[in-house]
Amino acid sequence: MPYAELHCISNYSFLRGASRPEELVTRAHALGYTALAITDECSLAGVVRAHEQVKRVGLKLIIGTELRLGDGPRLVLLATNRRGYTQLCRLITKGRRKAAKGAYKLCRKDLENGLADCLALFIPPREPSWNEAGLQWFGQVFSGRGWLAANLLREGGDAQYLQQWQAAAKKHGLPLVATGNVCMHVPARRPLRDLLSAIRHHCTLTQLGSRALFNGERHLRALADLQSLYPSSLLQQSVDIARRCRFSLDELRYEYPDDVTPGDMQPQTYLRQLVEKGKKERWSEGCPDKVQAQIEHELQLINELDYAAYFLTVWDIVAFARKQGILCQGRGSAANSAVCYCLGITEVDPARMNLLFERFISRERGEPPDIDVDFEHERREEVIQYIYRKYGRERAALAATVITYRPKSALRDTGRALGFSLQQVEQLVQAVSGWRSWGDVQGEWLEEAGFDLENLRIRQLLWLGNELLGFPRHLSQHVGGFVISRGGLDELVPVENAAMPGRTIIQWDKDDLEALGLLKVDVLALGMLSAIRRALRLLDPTGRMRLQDIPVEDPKVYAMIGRADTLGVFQIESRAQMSMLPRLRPKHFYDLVVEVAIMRPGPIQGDMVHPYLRRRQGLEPVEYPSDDVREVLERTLGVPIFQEQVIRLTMVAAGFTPGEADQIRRSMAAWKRRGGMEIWERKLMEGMRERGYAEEYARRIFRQIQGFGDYGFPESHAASFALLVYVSAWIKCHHPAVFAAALLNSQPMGFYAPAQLVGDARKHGIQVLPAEVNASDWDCTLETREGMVMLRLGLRMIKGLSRQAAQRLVLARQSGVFESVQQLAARADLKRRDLNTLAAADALHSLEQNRRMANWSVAAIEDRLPLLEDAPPQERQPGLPFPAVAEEVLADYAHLGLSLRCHPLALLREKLGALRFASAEAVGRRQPGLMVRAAGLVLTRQRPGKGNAVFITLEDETGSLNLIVWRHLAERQRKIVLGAKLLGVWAEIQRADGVQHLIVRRLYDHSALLAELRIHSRDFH
Amino acid sequence: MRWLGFYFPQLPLDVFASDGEAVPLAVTRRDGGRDVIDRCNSLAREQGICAGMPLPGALALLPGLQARQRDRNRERQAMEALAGWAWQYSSRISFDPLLMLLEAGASLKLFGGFSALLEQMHQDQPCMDCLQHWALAPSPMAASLLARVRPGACIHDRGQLVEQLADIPLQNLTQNSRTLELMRGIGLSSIGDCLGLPRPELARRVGPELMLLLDRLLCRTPDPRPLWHPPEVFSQRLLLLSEINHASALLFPARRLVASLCGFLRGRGGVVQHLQWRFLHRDAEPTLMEQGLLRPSREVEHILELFRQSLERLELSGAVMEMELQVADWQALQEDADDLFPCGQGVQDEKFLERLRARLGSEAVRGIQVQADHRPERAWCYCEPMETAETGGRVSAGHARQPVWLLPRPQLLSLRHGRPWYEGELQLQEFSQRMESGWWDGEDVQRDYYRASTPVGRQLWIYRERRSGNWFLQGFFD
Repeated sequence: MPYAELHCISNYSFLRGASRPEELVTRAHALGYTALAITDECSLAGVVRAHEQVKRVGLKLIIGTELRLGDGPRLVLLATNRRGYTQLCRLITKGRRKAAKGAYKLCRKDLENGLADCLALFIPPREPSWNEAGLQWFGQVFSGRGWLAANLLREGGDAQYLQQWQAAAKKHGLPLVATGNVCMHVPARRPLRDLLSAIRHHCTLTQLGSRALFNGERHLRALADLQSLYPSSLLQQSVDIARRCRFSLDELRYEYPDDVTPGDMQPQTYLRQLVEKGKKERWSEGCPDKVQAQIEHELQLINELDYAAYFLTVWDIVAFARKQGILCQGRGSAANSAVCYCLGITEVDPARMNLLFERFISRERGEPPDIDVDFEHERREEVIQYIYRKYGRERAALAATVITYRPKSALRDTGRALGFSLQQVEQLVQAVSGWRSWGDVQGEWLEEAGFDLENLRIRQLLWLGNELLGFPRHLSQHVGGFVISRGGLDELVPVENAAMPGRTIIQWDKDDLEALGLLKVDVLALGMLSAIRRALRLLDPTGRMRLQDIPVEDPKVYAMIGRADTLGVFQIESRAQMSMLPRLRPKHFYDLVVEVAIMRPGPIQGDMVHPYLRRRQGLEPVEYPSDDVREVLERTLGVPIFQEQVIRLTMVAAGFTPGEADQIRRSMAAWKRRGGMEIWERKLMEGMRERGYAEEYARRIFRQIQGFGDYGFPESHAASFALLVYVSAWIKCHHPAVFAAALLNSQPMGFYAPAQLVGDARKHGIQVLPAEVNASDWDCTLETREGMVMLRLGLRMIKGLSRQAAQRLVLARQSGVFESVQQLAARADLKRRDLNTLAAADALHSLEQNRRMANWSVAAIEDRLPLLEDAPPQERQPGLPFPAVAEEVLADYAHLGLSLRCHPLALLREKLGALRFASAEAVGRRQPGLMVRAAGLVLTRQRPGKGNAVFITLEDETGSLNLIVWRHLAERQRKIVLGAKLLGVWAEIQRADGVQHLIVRRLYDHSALLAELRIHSRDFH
Repeated sequence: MRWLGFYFPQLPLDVFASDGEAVPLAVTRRDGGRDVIDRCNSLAREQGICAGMPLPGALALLPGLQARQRDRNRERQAMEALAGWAWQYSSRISFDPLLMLLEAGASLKLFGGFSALLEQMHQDQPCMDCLQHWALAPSPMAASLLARVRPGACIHDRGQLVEQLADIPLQNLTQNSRTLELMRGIGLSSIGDCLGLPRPELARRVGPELMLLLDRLLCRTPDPRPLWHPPEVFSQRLLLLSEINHASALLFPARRLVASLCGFLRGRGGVVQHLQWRFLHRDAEPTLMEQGLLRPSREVEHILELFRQSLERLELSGAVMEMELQVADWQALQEDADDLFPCGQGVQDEKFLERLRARLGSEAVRGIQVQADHRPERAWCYCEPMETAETGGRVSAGHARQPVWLLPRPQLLSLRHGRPWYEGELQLQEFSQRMESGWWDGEDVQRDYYRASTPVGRQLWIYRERRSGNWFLQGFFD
């Protein structure tokens, strides 16, 4: 007797379903079900995953939803066709938009119209007697397409229930159908389901009481078992209903909006017009033939695949930003095309790079083009609001991000449910902190934290905590992935409220969109664009200077990069990047593209960095096992560095079809978490063996692919980033003061704090002037004296000073300089709090002798009383001693985050010398291999990748030092590694290609010296 | 005036260290939404824990750290207990946080000087080393400050105050952020620095509070303080005119004590729930009797009636010479708790229960309560009579079709001819339910329940354990 399960929730009914959609589909298929409906509660968030899985295993999927109406009853709706699916989406959207994030509100009235193409199942309450008013309503509304769902769960009284339901169904003219009320794929998930219930009810498992499952029957049961429970007519009904549901997600056709195209013009025609116009602007002297051919080719492909409207939509957003003076830049598979260059979406000149458009949009693969656009981080919201304005909330929404359980959250929630005390839960969370925040929780971690693995509750915790990993908790908004459609979005997918007011999200994440071939535009925020726009404005106050006006391929810029003099430069400012630059010595733009992509976890873990470096330095021959491979890898010296190359390799070397190659790309990210790469490994090895590649080579390629699982960087993104690398490096190289001001005014962003940026500017000979009420604007500015460009710190550098107050101050200064604190307070209408802040930051330098006097003076200003500017009360001076340097420096750091006086370590140099600690400069003069003692302020601590080492950067008054602390040492001296502010080390010097590291053998915490400095300066804390 | 200040920095820890184990211990307080370490014992300090550390950080450093939230209530009780002890030395006692201040002027004369007093106190101190942090000063604030900052300081003359206090950091005196920020900003930090600044100018900047504080500190202005009074505990003895041999004869004299207690409670608006009786004998240890009431009361007849019933079970170890009634904790009467119609059903039930328990003993009378658990053997538990079930998980709907008469534990059934046997071969009548639950406490059950009948037609509720295949008897339908 065949059967179709029509009532089944997945773990996308958050904290209710205990199995993944994929698991349910696979199990239903294995049991020989005719079909499976995924009916998550007022949600379609899990259906795309189920859809992908049914395509793999071959099962019929029905899209539906379970609803609990505010005025009763509970029911399940199933879509029969495309119209029914839209009706479902609209209903869910309606219910979700009415309620706060994560909740929904629907009542009977909402279901009475507009569900003509949906079937409905009434879920009877499991009570001996129930009010049949709900059933009566149901019978009327869903006459001819409604059923009473008989779910027999062996909880007692099944026979009586069945009789009772049969009577009720007869009375209201409804047929009965067998359903399973399924919440898990196998009975073994019963504990997990109980755990989820406890988490959902914020109680412990022992408090769960009757809310725990009565038994494990709510799984996908074997057909024979069902047959023994249900009359066969009821089973047959399920199959009949399933037959009436013919909708598949494959039917979704989605069109990009045509709003941008004027009148009744074809999008393709309009696109061509715009490209022609842009071409003339880009190449005023005529377009090179090669590019012309490229443009024609691209336009033809766009036409063929019907993507014109998509390109126009992106162009429109970019055009809006440009009009508003918001700097932006596209990247992604389609962005680095000649067409996008002409449209102004990107500034990467196709003539400057040998990028093949077809590599990114492929005719065979049917893969949608992907364009991400980065905007200035401070102004992205304007762009987002423009999109909402232009398309309306019905047609534009953000993609969702599924927030899933990770070790910390899994242990926290599981621990609470198992009844661990708050303190124990805190200890558990600590045990998986840091580099243990991904992947399964290991028993020994808990043992380390003092938990006994023999203990039943600890074993349960470990087992269930790991089961919970990867389970979705809630939907959140994607950083900027917009879905825009021609018709209403709710015809495609339900829309719900995000936590942020004014934001709506769809119920699918970016993988879902990609799986269904839906287009999205990523509207992203990038701090460096804000900084570059500010720099361009400083270089040309008229505002006419554009990205493309920066001279290209300047050897001086490359020389600077080769010296790793790149503090603050986009992407290549990190410590890892800086240590790579002197070895890589980029000479051309394409080298920057490689540089951007190579220092990523993917290439690092795939062990591609060193082979590439050796080949570049000529230490290793560049070889290709075949011409096919040569074609793919030639531009990166035979080493796959970009994601695209890896994909391409599987095709040319192992004979993957484009479809398979695409699947491998998409499953890369999932491997780590879900496993499942064995099939690909076998296939790849076999494919390469057949084509005559050596076993060893094949293995290496597979390892590299595996490495990309972590994070591979596409060439198409690297190219756009590389342009910003070049532009920011050019500004730093030729206009260091402008560069520093632009970065400081765009904080917070980037890798370094203002102190390092200012320090770097001074190292490059820029004189930096302090923030001062009679000289500074809100922003940092440039002052020219006797032909020297100096950097004046802005009032924005002062911690805790409100922008409004600073602006009032700058405005008031236009009518003349301030002569006293009273005058300043009165004219700029400053509150005592603002004045305190200014005094503490030593910004009253022109009004008072020193910081102490400034603090004393502003303390007398009363907020409420009207100020008698002309008659300040006669006061006795307190006769304060002059502040010591140490006090000034520490106060500078406290209130500005930096000091122009001196580095705190300079004040301690004598003491450090007595402790035999060398300065960073002195360390640099020693021979590699020697042991050395050094000390400095801890700037950064990082524990990248698998956590085999901790990287610490120290700073003193002469420079910085990069430390490597191997794991065993870091664990042993954990307290110091995590806690020291002033760190001393005994370490071995390693130096190669101008890059220096200290391999630490021992750590000393000398933070007490800083405290002494404070006491010395008569400071309080 | 001489104020003797005692500082108890360990008190917040001591209230937890009752088990006396040598473990690293810390108490925490809430600070800006986070739990931070307030203070810790030396064992914790040796391993890097210090005050002000956020709790997660401290636990990361020392996973074995025992951390408790500060319990101000217990601290207050502990302080009051100390004050109760100190009452013998001075009747003028005042508190600052973790500080006890005694006005010792009169005692100095009584004990013959300060060192004699202190020595006496040390000899008599209620716990080891708890009086380490003391100081003597002319003002209570100075005594308080010195006990914390400079234990052992002894200032007899107010003229010495300025000199002695000048170099103490101001932050030990006040936590006023406006004051401290200004002082930090002008590079000064001590009380002496502060006194050196022009007074009106300083007052203008930090407000009058600091001035008042300094004046009180230096005895320049009086520092009136609320004084502590010991709590009122009821304790009364009654010497009997003639020795009493029969417990029942105690009823008569008891009336006087009970009446007196009720008068005491009335005067303070209080009621009582627990009474302690002591019956003193000539040659034997006193006989103790605890008397509890179901509801707090101050009704003479009610209390006496229960006392009479308790007497019936009392075994005296000898003739009673003296009897004592003690009430350590009486509570305030809550008006709304007084029933308007004291003869209502609830009160009747309670009175009946009180009588029953007084007669049969407390343990013999128990209540029964449902517990939300699917497993029948865990679906109920014993409780205090009249206690109502906790709200929360509802009763399992699966119990609806289960019999009321359940065995305390399921009983294993033997098999004969492959069928379960109980007073004969059992016939399975119908499948009842499948129950799978309880994995979290290690007693996961997986059972299929059936209704079965014995050859004589007795209806049983039995189940088959799905893992082992064994049959068990759970209850009877009859």
